[in-house]
Amino acid sequence: MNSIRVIGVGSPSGDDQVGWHVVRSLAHQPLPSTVTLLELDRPGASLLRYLEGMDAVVLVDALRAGFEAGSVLSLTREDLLTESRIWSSHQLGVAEALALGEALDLLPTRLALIGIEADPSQTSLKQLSLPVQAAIPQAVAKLSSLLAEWSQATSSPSPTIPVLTDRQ
Amino acid sequence: MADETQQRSVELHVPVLTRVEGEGALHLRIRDGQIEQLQLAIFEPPRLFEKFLEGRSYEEVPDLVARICGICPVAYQMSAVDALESLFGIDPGPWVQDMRRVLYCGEWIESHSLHIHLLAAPDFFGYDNVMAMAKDHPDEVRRGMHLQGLGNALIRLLGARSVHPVGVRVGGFHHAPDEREVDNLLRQLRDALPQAEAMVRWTAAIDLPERTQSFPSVACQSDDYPLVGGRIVSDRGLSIDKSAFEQQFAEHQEPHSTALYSLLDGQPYLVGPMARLNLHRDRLPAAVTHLMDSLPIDWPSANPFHGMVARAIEIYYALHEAIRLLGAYRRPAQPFVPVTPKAGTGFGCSEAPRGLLWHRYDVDAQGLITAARIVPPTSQNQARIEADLRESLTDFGLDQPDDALRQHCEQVIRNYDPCISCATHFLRLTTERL
Repeated sequence: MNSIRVIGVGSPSGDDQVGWHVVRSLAHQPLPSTVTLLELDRPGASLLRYLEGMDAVVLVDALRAGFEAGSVLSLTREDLLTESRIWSSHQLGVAEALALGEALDLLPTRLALIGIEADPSQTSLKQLSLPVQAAIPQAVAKLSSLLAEWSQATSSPSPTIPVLTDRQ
Repeated sequence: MADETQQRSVELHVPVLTRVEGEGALHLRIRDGQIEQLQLAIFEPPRLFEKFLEGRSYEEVPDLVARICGICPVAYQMSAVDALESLFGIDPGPWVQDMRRVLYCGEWIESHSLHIHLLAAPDFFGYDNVMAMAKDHPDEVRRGMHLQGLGNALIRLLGARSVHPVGVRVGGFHHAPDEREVDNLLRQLRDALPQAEAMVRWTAAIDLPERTQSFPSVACQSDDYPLVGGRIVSDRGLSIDKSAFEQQFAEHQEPHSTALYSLLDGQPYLVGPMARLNLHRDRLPAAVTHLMDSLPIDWPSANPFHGMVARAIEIYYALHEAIRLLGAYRRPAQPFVPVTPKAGTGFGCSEAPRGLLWHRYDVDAQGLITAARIVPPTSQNQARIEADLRESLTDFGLDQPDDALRQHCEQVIRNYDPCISCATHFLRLTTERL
């Protein structure tokens, strides 16, 4: 696997920041040198630009899927492209952007999403809720094993990887 | 066909309008085959931005107003700096003025490309959304997204990021890009010209509904095709200084909508790409007018559905304009002029992607905002959209099934590219046939 990207998707409010936190934690782990890390703020359809040229992409995002707050879910490419979609009027969400990417044949061969169930009772705009904060190590562990599985056994680990951002 | 007994009375509700920026609804009541009531309801909560600005320094205004909209933040910044610099008596000079045009071109390209490809075009090809359209028209959608990406890149060049840019200040810019960055983007813009031309021809070849409607077109007027500042003019003889806007244009509230309605001499009017083309096509460069002359549309146009073609033409123009201005780019010693605030009232206007965006600021001697008024294009178009719907629905046939009526209403409304998030201050359709 030549190029792998991990993209934390979110916004600077409450549990929606968790994708960025997970990516920042991942940056301190030994990772294959083919991995790039990125934080995106509500990218809409422009998410597809950051998938271009990649062999594999893992998205990390907060979810509202009805599980217990802090639950960590792994969604496969198939899961992501068959989930029921709600068309958001103001901008495309991740699921819609991926559906558009599939129609345009822009998606990488390997695609997954690590989702962390947000806490609906979280009222702080600044901080993560406790259950979501506590879920970060588990999300990082899932990511690490997925990346290890995807990367070539021959690629050497790189100690620190810079996190690129495109914020609003 | 409808006979007398089928000339029913119907009440149609579109509860949530999709593929528009923001939340709104439409209520339609048809009694005995006549429209009795038609209301475009904008029910996003009021944004109260004008109140947020009170007590803030003039220096904070460009960053604060950029937060009003993620699609057209540059427009809010440009009308704001136009108003404040007019009040302070500042001329930021040709470099700043040129780069403001470049930044604004980026926003037109980004916003218009998004609207044409992701929001409006699926209507004209009979798809529910762009995901469905992309399966059959992948090249056109990819091309549109590439153009949108170039618009975003232009905004990033001068604004440091593509959404809610932070590069603008009263007096100029915080930062001037270096020549290498400019050259790099310039090459990509030049490469995109044939794609933009093909995109214009593609929109002009779409089988658009035939409509002829009468409405005044209103836009800013300057020496060039309008972007920032100038007078406010209409094709019915209006020509006023921007400070006289409030005397000519009256805003009022209707109970069904959180957006204000704006009228010119008591009548609805049009702002936006079609209004600009109707008024100012003589200010376009030859490359753009040659392309327009080769299309099967005569300008000025009285068919509101030509709005999408007007948007496409403006993408082509904005690419040319950005190339022209960046082709002469030199990095200045300082990308702004110094500003000394003074007390008084400043008026500003600019051409947002969706049309005229007017601002007024009352400022005290310390440069703090004591009052602000912002009149966005979608609230100005709201009365025109309702007038268009009345005419279009009658032309379309009120005896059509509810689903067809609802689709047609959505198509008419979306054609104006309403930015309801900005205006709140989209479609649930409810139809009653009584």
